[in-house]
Amino acid sequence: MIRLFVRQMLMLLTSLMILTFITFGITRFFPQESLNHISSTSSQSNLLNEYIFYLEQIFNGNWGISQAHGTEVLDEFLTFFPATIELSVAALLFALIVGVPLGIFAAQNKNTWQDKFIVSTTLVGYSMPIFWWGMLLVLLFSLSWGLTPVASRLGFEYDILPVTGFMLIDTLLSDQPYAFEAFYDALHHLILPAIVLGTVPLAIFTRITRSSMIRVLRSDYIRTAKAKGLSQMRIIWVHALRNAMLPILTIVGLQISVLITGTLITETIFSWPGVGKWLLEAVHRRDYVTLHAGLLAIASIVVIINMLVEVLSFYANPKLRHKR
Amino acid sequence: MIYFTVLLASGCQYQKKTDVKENVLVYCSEGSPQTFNPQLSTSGTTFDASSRTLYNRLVEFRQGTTYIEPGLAESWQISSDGREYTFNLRKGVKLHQTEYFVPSRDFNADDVIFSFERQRDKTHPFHKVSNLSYNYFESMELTSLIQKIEKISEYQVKFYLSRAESPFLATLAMDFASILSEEYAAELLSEGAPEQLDLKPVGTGPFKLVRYQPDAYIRYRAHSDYWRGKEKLENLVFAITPDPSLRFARLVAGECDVMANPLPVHISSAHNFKYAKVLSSAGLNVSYLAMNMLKTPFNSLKVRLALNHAIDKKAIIKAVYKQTATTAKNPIPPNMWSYDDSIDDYPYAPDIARKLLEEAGFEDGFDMTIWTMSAQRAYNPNAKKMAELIQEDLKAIGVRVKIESYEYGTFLNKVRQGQHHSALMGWIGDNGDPDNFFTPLLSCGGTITGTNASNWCEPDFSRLIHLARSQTKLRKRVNHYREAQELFKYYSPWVPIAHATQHAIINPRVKNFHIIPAGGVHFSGVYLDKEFYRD
Repeated sequence: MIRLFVRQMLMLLTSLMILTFITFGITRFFPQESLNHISSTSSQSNLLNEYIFYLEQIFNGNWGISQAHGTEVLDEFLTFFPATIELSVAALLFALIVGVPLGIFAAQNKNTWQDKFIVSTTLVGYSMPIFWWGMLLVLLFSLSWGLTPVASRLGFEYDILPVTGFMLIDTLLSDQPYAFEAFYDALHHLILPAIVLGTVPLAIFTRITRSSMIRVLRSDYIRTAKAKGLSQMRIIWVHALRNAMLPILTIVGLQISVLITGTLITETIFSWPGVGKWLLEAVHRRDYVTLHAGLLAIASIVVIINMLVEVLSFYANPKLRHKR
Repeated sequence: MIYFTVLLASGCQYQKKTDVKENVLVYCSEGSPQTFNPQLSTSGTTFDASSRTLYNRLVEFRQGTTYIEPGLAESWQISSDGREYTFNLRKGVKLHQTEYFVPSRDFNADDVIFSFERQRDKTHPFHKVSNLSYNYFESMELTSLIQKIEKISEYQVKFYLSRAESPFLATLAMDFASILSEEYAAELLSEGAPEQLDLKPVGTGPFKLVRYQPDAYIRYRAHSDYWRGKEKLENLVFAITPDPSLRFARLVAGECDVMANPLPVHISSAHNFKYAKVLSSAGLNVSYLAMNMLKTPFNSLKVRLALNHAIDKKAIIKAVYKQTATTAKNPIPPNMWSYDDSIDDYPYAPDIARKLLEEAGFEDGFDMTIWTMSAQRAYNPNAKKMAELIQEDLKAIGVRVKIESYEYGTFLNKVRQGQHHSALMGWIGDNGDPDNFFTPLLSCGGTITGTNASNWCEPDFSRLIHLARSQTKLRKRVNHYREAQELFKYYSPWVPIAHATQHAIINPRVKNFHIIPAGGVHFSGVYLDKEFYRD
């Protein structure tokens, strides 16, 4: 266990090192006037010293000043990041809550028309361009039927002080008389973006659950359980699911980077004030300082989360856990 | 699954409690402001978010017009030589009290001096703060025009000018001349954070800043001690939405009450929606065909008149502007003061045009070139198409037209150098003063700087413009400008074509909203119909 942890930590550090090499290289060898203050203001001309100085700046939270707004990039990142987490978590939850039962259902009814329907639908969901999908949902749900809001995280009539940056929490913390109404409104704003962002992971989760479940249901101990006369429900939910879920956990880790790329598009469609939209705006404005810091931050986060998931799946898998 | 179905089902009751919405106006704006200090910007987006909501000026434009009225200055005297302006400042004007600043005194002369000296004096401690330039101040040549600003008393300030210049008052009503708080600036300077002045604004205007999240929203609240009286509108939010289609979608869904910069397709489809109402107003602009009078045959008056008769402006309005413009007959737009509506336009009459050409000695017509720019401008959505329509019109009287299109920057440079034969030009006024059109576009001076694209230099006309410029009595200025318009019509150095209309789409519950002639929005005096969502 400790060995694994050490190995993962080393891998993490190496990945982050390589990442900073790249970003440092970009600022150092394609010099941008505005980035100089974090790459080479030190008097030492030695490349290694410059790199160390650069790392110091990054760790001290000196990510530079945004060219567009004149504010600290780190502050901006921290303002936008919770919105992205909120959206990603909601999308992930949606994908898991809908995808896993759907996969189980398909596995149970293998080769029936329901199963074939689910499999082909997930293929469509998997290959759907989410930009188009998002627009379509907005057109139907928001504009034609008026069921959901068109964009952003909260109706602008609610004045909610950002404390944590998570709208669902902030609305409940607020002492405004309409706090609960605002919470409900924030939830409402979350539905459509979460569905759009969660569509691709949903398709993947369904398919993985299905195949994994089919494999588990074929195994001997399930057959034994059946022979013992356990109910179908009990077999699936108590005995089969735990083993079938292991591959899902690994896939969840891999989906993080899919989600992050997805937020770029989803946040733009829904004018969702998160990191993805923030970076896209920075591209439009040629705000190199913001871009540089934002990319470094996002890449680091993806690497770290992937590592966490790996440790977690190791911990959850008894086969690996007890291996000496 | 259950969680989401419940939410979706409850979506049917999405119509919210109305009382919260009744006090908030949401404006879907087109972008984030560069700064909250209008002195540092030339962008309308920044002005909408700063000068028009947060600040006041010494004198201001009456809402929706270009007339000057008292602002922070209650009254003013202008010396007989027109070079000294004394402003008597309003007393008891309260500055914004915010989370980051509590003013200890009312607005006074120090604030005025600070606001102008920051832009004028290169050694001023705030001059280099924020690392942006004072483009407007400099392009209006105020650095050389203002010789000295003197504080006579707490509530009296005197401007000494290097020359008489009657548009000076209109200049002071422009956005960059907004008055900031000197006390707040001094406090920030002593705290070592002067750049906060441009990020966390304090002004005297109708609204104060509550919160700003870049690329997401700006939240304002009514300034309770506003000197014109507290606004009826309690809360104002700018929802920053760069995508025009999304802005329109939000307006249609009732999430926004006013949208910025609608596209022509939005204007034509707005009537299909319950929450969309189109407002139109003539813009402060003109689009015209400039005939270079230094080249033949445009040196002939009859030829120029013939072209004026030969071009069907109504067809252009229909095809190029999709009816979002009015035909032009004078060089200034109808909503500009001194506009002479009694002047008759040359009617569209190819017969008269052909006769005029014969009289000028061009029985067989002639060859001409029209230059156009490829970029779309507020005054001309499609210059190439306009040129093609003119080409057809002129073919009917025997004039053979060749069209050449250039990129915007190249086009302007080449026209400035006088290389064109004729060109489709346009102009947008920025301070509501007629001089802002006449001097650059039509005076002899304009032929030297290159802004006078027809190279028309009529001494009588230039003299009138000069007289009007150095004159401070409004009535006399109006007379001079009217006379100038008659001369313009007689000599016809241009074919004036159109004044493009400005549009805004608003929710019908928004009342008393006016379009600013020079572009942009402001919400002073606007209020919401509280009954609107109740039925």
